[in-house]
Amino acid sequence: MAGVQLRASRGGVLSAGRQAVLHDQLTLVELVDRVLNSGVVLSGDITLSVAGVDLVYVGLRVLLASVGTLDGMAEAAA
Amino acid sequence: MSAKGAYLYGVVVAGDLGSEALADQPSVDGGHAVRVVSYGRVAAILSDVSLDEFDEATLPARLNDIEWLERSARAHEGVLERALDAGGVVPFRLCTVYRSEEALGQFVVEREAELLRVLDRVAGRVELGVKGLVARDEPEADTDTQSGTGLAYMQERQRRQADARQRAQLIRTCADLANARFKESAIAAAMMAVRPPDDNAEEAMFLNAAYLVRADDDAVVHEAAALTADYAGQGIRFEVTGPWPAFNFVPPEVAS
Repeated sequence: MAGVQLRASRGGVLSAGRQAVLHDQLTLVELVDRVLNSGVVLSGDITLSVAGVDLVYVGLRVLLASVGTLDGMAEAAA
Repeated sequence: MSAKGAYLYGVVVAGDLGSEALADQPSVDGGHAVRVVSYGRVAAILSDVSLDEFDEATLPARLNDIEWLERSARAHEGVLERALDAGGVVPFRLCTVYRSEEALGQFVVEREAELLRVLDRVAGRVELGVKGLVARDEPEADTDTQSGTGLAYMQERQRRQADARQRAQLIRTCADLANARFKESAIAAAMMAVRPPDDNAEEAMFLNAAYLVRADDDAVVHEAAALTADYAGQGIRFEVTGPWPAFNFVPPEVAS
């Protein structure tokens, strides 16, 4: 079945069959992917933005490694 | 006391969201309150930050600090979700900081028309993320290290290469079909980079898409479940995340 991770507050389809911790970690990867790689980035007289940061080596890679481990644990526990 | 900057989370239509709705919402630094400040017909969601913490020189190190990154990202998203539930928001990227609230206000005032256009596009809509995942094959014995040079070895190698080509073709076809089906119910679609799997990951991502849909439209969710059922025999599944603010459906830069 599809591993749906919709927020409960919007109703409809809820997370199914996955451990809460794994759900949180996977959602965090999706979240970090979005907040660092999309959204308005350059506007006006900005003193700081992630536009100049080489994101390839930032956070997400470390997060993904931790998710890989958690994913294996969840599968084993299922 | 260090100098203060103004951290911008997003922009909403003035009147849609009040500071009181964000009173219990943690800010990116966990200290200063999140506020909504109106500038004409649009309003900025912001909070004060220390320019020592949000400094260009230390930003890469902070982003590599998982605890700091998680706390900031969750706070940033938490604020945007309140705004999303209130009607719509133009999400800004993590760590967008102006040297002062005045500088932030000046930007919003100058770009009011363009911000309103983008707000009109995202109002009442949300972004859904869809990932296509395929089970990875068991690593096969490394035949190259064996002393096989005969006909059987060559045939085995060719068979494996043909299987791999066939499988790659199946996945491409599946990705195209899935994207076409999701797009039918979506207002807009965006392709994000497919993340390479870790060595020990059991699945590889072959589709990383985002779709802009009406906030009450769950057709993408049902389509993902149907496709997952159709392709279960091939070890393929689709995972939906969201609803997100329309991160992938706003321009990277808002022009005046």
